[in-house]
Amino acid sequence: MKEKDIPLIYRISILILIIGISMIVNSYSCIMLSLTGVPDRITKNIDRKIDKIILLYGENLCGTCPTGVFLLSLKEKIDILFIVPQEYSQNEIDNLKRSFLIKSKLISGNPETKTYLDRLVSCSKKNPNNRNLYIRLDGVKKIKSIIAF
Amino acid sequence: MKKISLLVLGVLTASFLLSAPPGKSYLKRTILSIDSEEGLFKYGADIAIIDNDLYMVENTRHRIIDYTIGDTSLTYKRSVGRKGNGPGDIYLPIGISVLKDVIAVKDEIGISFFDKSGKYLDKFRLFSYNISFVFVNDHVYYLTSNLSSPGLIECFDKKGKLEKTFLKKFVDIDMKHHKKAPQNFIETLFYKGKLLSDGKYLYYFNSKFGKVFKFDLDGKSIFEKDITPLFGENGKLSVEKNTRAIDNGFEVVDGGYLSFPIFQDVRIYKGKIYILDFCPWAADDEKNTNKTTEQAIFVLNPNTLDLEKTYRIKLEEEDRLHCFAIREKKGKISFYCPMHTVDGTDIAEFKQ
Repeated sequence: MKEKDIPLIYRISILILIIGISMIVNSYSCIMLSLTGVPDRITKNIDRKIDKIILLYGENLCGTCPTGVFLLSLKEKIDILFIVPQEYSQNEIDNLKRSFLIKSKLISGNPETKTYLDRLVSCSKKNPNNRNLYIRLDGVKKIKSIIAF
Repeated sequence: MKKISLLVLGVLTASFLLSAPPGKSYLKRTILSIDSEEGLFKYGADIAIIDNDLYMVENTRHRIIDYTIGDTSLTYKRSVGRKGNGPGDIYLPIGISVLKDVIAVKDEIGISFFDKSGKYLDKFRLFSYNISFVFVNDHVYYLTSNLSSPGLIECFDKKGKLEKTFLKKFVDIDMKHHKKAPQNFIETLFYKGKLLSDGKYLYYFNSKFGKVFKFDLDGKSIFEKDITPLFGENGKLSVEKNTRAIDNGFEVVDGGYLSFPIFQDVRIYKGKIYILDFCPWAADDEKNTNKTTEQAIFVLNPNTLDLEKTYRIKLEEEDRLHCFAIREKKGKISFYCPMHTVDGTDIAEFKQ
């Protein structure tokens, strides 16, 4: 029995559909980032002098490891907004500030901040285990560059 | 005449035996067999004992192994902790301190508390490099080099609140001689040592300069002493080399900074201080003239730091001891050490 040919228009439609779905899947994080924007927890804490955000959601925040050495290189700076996970207690935030001589504003995040971080990592194609991000902002407080460290 | 000769010989033999150094004895070594595969470990970073339980810190597998101590074996009971950074998780643990029935573990993230059955109790994060720590009087005393503080010892409550800092940094380091590494890292090299407590006092034994500091638990200084003479000519030479490194920088060998400790570990047990001296391991280097075949454990009086007794351990081939725990059984002291041998890593018991 001869199989009935699928019309060309359907073939093209299926191809377009597949490409479309894969594009959405691959860019879901970026699409959601552009739709939801920056969480209030962050925007409300960015004032005029802040032009960098550091999200510290990774492990190994020790004083002498590379992450710690990088944080120590930022000591005394006041133009950074540091954000740590919601689970950090006030004592732990104080210990963090003391260990890395942090003079900038340091706040704890919330669930939206964590979701935002996950989307940033995914959208910027960073290693998902690399959860310490250094974000530079431009003059209108939009993201200029993201470095995972 | 024959009887007189025998008597004289007997007296001479007795006087020779009595004139042997007091308290010096060699310890008998038993490699303790481990009864299950789960109890085998790769690298024992630290060790502690509560009653009949031996706790081994296994760094690379992110766990504390709990064994029951037998006469010639260790029975695996459980693993405490699992890899991670949440409650009950530990990540690359390096140290353990026990107080009554509570076990405090230092890992890359902070300090976690467990009860002796392995149940998670609490944790708090710390970020500065840990040189040594001790859990006493419901407080964590933490020896560190924190750039924001002139003090070396930080005292935290069980929730991680800093209560006090004491012992001013005593090495005058000019960073122009140490340009290749961050300041806090260089400081940790000079302040390496051991913090320990008998429940009433706190002791800091510095392994690079042989200094010992004794405090009460409020941080008030009781005394400061130099115990370098205890380690003889090797100890003196090591302190000289470390002192030279202050102004000349450290020699870097195979990416590591070459510094010279004079002891490996210190413990306090039933009112006595025990120090495991440094063994210049040289099994791999035949040209090294410092190659040694024994290691000593010195017993000191905690009030005067006077030497009361010396235990000696014979080393075989590639044996190395870097830490130990103590237990008394039927009035006799036993030392338990994770050790590297030609066969791998084992736990050995050394007893009288």
